[in-house]
Amino acid sequence: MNVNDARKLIDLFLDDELPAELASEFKQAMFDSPELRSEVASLRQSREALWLAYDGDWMTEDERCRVLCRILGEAAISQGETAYDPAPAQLQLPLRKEA
Amino acid sequence: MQQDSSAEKRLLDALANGDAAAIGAIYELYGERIFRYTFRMLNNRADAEDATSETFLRVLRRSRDLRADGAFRTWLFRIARNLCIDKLRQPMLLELPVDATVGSGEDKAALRIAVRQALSDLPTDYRDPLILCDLEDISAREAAEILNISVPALKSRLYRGRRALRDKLGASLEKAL
Repeated sequence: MNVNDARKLIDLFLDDELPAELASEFKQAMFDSPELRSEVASLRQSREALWLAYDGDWMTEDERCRVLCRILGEAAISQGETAYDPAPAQLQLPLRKEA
Repeated sequence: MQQDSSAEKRLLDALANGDAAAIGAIYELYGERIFRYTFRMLNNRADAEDATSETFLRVLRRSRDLRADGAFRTWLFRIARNLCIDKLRQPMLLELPVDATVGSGEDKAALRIAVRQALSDLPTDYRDPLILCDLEDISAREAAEILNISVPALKSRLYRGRRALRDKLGASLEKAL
């Protein structure tokens, strides 16, 4: 087996894509070879670090709304409507109440 | 999943038949994923927000050509990717993760920064498959379609990318995990 084939096997194992029989042979090979064990462990760590680094990249509510308004605005324009037609009361500036 | 694809088909038909309001519902289905993907490509929330808006606006502008043939998601990701590539050609700043502050999770925060920096330093050929397959959890077949390459080529880039990322991270990994 050449280096590329060995690497391919490692990735298939990490992706859970090895058939059961081969996976069991691979586990035995890992048990026998510290180099293989360390290669698999370091790739696993690297993948965990990738997940950790990008965990929680959800949109905030403000971001979600801004994008939606932009899209719906253009959709309304494409259908010949006014993007936003405020009622007269909405045009009044909020005034601070005097004490 | 079945429910999602039939909802998608209905919405795409509505959009193709001139119901522009359907784009809002399509955005509800895919907006979050496209935002995360563009943020991971661009490392900047404001740019990701722009790219997400523009992705759906392009869908809207080409709504007459839409076909609900199951390849919509692939097409959507392809549009988003092209927009990201255009943005990446411009000079930009790497945005730090929100927890990148000094404190008890210092090592983890440092690792987050190191990983984002390492990923953005990788050649696009390696970065794309890593983001699509390992972060977005998209199958190799669909990722290959998005990138317009064969599945063996995708896998080869993915495997090389994983090792390149691991090698770039080096000591930061051992320290933080």
